[in-house]
Amino acid sequence: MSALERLNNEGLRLSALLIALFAASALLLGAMAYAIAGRAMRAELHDFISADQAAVTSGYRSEGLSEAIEVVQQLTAAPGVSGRYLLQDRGGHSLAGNLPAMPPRRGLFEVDAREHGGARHVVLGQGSFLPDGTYLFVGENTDRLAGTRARILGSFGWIIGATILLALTGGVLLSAGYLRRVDAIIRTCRAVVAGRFGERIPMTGSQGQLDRLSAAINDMLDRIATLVESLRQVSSDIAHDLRTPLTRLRQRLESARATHASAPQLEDTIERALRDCDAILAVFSALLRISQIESGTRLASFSEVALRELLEQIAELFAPVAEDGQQQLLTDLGGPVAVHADRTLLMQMFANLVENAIRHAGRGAVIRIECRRAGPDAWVQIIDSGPGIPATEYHKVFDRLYRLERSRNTPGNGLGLALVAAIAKLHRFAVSLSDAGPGLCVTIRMPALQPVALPVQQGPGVSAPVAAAQ
Amino acid sequence: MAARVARAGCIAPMKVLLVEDDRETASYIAEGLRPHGVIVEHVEDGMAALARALVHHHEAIILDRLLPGLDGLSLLKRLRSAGVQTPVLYLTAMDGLDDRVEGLEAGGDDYLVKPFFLVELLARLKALARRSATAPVQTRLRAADLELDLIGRTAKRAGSEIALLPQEFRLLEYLMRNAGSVVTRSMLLEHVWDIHFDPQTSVVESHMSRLRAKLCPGGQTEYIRTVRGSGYLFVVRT
Repeated sequence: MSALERLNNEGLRLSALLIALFAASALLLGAMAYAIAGRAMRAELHDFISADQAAVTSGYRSEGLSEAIEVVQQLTAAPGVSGRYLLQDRGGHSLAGNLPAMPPRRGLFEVDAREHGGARHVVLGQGSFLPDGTYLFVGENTDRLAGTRARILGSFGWIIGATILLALTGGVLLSAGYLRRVDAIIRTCRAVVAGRFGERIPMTGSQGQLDRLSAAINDMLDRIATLVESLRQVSSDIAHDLRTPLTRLRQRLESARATHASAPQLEDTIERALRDCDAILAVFSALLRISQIESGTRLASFSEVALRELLEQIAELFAPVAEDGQQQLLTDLGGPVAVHADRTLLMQMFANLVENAIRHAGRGAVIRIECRRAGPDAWVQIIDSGPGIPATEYHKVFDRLYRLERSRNTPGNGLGLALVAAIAKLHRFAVSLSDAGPGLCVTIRMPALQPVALPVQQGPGVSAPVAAAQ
Repeated sequence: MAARVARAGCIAPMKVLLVEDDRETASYIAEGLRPHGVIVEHVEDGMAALARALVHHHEAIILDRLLPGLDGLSLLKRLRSAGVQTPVLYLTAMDGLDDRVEGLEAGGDDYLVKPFFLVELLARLKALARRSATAPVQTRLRAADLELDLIGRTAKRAGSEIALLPQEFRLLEYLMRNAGSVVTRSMLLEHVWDIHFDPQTSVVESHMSRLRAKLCPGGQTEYIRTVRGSGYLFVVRT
């Protein structure tokens, strides 16, 4: 309601502004036209007056006063005469002309003339004296001038009226078009506020400012929607996945309170409860980390990462763990390859994959980390000789909290591969699973950076081949 | 057990400034650290912390990042630009991927995310205080009958060389630098392998058992003791 009111107000304000501008310009133009036309007509009248005056004067010069009287009479007698004349002797008596006697006065001035019918005219004329002192006044009715002025003023009124109408129409149309779009933006924003996150501002494809504004707002809404969705996902995952271990923890503590356990037993219960807490916290932080990665705010920390060195480090880190499970961790890493990535995340991705292999491949398994470059891409494969995963489960194992039926009893929270998927997606790496016959092969294809001719740095953490000895 | 060992490693009481706006957390920390010889001075906001830290000497500062008045990051930047070099440990709920880097770049020395364990906080505090106390340039490290050559990266036990892999050397070096104090699993992961996430396998345990076997093949001498529920301890014999 208030939005509509504001729209109307905006429309009115815009129209009023247009009207004011249009009217002002029309007034200015009209005033100029009025002044120019008036001046031109006065000049024309003046010409007429000067011509008639010259005629009377020249008649006087050539043949005396009688001729001047005759000229005046002739001028007065002309049919449809608009000129007004007066020839008056020094005594103030009219000699000729169609004006009553008047006090003589030199120069250009206006006089009121009353006709016999009573109509009043304003006469503009020139007064002068003939050499013998006779007074001559030659003038013209200014009715025409006044008429023209009135017509100009009249048409002026029309023009201003039309202008206002035009401005009003234009203003309403313009504001209706403009404000309808603003209204659409407001409606969309309100819809989003009301919880309909799917609403977007309709685009007209005009490439105008409003269209660009709409596009920017839509982009922003898309981004927010992604973040909200990832948040929603996390909160539902947390609610879902943490309820079970929290319930278990509670039961454990409850039963410890109920049974009068001995001190060592209580200590054991506390130890287990702490482990439960740790596991819950680990799920928490893994879920949060996945959502952080998925929200894509990490792109700024990308840099060139030496892939072979990183994989060597991973192999060094996990070789003893594999050994402890009578497994072999072998590497075949080829030449140096660099990728554009976030080092910490890349490390975590490969660590998760290798740990996944170590945990699920079983005793005596062989785990291989291979890296090679093919065309523009670097390919990394983590291959184990364990039981593998049925091909029908391939698409599910990257889901959050998904665990294969048979791994329910091995440690793990079902988030390791979801994290791998999130990291790969952020980097636009392609992850695929295949059968290593027997075992699982995880393949990651990543765009490689063009090799730079620099000596390979052998850091302290990078040692000779890390194939774990049996 | 952890308490006894930690007390043994610290003779003089350690004075720490705690900047934390949550009173309950603050008293949990103060109460928890006191038995281990750590005297906690608590302030609740950034401005008060700035005033205290500029005037008084502390062996370490425990700093929350979200504080009323002056946030932790700005506070630390001001302290560092004023020349205060007291080691700073962040204790914060901000565990974003970049928060840690941002915190350390602002001049922090260590970063611990809430929720935390008291043993973890204690171990890190001691490591920080020790790091600032020891001479920065060391070429040799000696403890018990072990000797590390930090330049040549070689280790000797009672004069005879032990063959260590580079990462085993780094692990031993870190343990020896913190000899007599508990170091936690995550401290080891961070400092030895630069890993800031929790591995799902027993990485640290596996490396530790290898290192122990190499240090003392027969197993008669215990150099590295496992402290249950806390971490590891390099045992100093007197």
